[in-house]
Amino acid sequence: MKHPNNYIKKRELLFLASLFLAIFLPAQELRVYQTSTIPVKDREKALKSDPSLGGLEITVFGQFREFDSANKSKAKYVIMPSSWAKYNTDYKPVYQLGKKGQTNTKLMILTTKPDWTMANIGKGKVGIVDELGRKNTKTYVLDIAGKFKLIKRVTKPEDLMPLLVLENADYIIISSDNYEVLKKKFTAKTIKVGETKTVDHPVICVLKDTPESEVEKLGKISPETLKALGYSELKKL
Amino acid sequence: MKNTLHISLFTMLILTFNVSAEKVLIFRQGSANFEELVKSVKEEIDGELELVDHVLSDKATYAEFVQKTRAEKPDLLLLLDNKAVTFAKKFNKEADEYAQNLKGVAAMGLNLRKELKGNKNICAVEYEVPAYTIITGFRYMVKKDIKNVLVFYRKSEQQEVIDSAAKLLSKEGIKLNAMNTEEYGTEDKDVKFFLQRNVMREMYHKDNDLVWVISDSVMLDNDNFAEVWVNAARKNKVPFIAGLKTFADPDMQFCAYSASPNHRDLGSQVTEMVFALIDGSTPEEIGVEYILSVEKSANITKIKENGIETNPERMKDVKVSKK
Repeated sequence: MKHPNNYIKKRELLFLASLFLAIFLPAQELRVYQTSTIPVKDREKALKSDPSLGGLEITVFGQFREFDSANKSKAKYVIMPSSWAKYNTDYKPVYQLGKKGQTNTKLMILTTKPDWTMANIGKGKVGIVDELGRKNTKTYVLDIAGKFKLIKRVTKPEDLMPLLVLENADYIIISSDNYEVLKKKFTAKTIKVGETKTVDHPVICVLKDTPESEVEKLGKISPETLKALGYSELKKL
Repeated sequence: MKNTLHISLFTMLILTFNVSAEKVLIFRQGSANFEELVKSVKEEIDGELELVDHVLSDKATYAEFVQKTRAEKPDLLLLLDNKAVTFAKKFNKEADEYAQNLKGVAAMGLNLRKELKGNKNICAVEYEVPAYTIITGFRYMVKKDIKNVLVFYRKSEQQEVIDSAAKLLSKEGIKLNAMNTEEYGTEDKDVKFFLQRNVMREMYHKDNDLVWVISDSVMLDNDNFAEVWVNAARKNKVPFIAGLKTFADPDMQFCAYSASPNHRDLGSQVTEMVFALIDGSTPEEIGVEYILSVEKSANITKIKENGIETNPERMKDVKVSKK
């Protein structure tokens, strides 16, 4: 017969081991942030009902700041704008989202006043949806569009058109998909003054030491789920 | 050897001085909305700047403001209500260079565009939700064409608001029919008399699709509120909309829709201004911005009474309530 003390010790050890794992191992979580006008609830519902993602704790964030704050304890898997992956080297992109055979796009640079052209962006304020935080947004905008006088981050795509029409900014940078949705709400005339460099669509990333077997699992996301996220294709990177 | 040590200590001192974070002193009220905004600012700043939070009570004096500012010597002020703005404007007129040059960002105060006209030290985010945001928000969720909007205003206080709203709404193909309630005089009793004579009459006689209610303490005082406004909203099919959440409460049977400030996002907007100033922009360059992000509330009971159909697919970010 085992000594009762041994039994208690085993239980304590098991408890401590679980505690250690809970604290030091990355959670089996999938966190998602996109600059999208598709409601958070709809995207989260689709991801949670996808059998290929069973067992994962899934959260879709409506604002970058909420994601950034939650991801201080790093989730093992994330779906993020491709720009984010460049600035967060703890993660590696493993799958590229795409649509209509394209894995990238050019964002539109819009204004409402003909005086604002690409020639004088250095004097103007530009609005963009936050997907990187303050410091990285500056370098990102400089990289894809050029040097504006001031960058104004907004928390969601819906705020971009008021930002422009209410003249809080002289230009906005927006994807054509998001613009199509906003056009239904705001009918104010805009002028397309230019485009950014090519920007990749969102990517699925994993923490760098994630085994290949787990990466493969993410490639099985269903077409319905991709559609709910606003995409139709998945390409292994 | 001694010299080398001195140089090293001096260099370390200079480095310490240079890397120390800029200090922002917050003056604000103590209520929940102010708490929420400050919490949001703290999250956004995330340790990049030093924040000192000071609550000004109702009885707070200019002396308290001066004493706190002199003691903390902030690089920047965050002024969260009209009292803080008034004190900061006075402080900028003190004799010393530090006081004269101290810059600030203001928010959660009323009429800031007017209050800060020509001011070179303070930029701001307006607290009043612009008509453009309220009206386009309502138009998006209902199956009704919105072409003409009726508004009552006080010329002495709101002419700029009206001019700006008319200009912005014209970009959406919407005409603003603005009626100056000070036609008979600028005293409160004159305004009240004008409203009693004209609110109901205007709605019967003109082809208005909406009534935009400006949150004005004189036009919406205790006497007028029930007698003129709520009465007109109850007897008429034209929906009333406003920038105050309580007005769209179904129990009030007043407004069909409201778009009120989202304090968390306002914190982000304010923080953008703080960093813009830290990075070298001037308050004059930034100016007074409109508030961007709002919380939308729809009073479905009232909307149905108004005989308007809604589009549920477009109401996923709207708080819907009914009686």
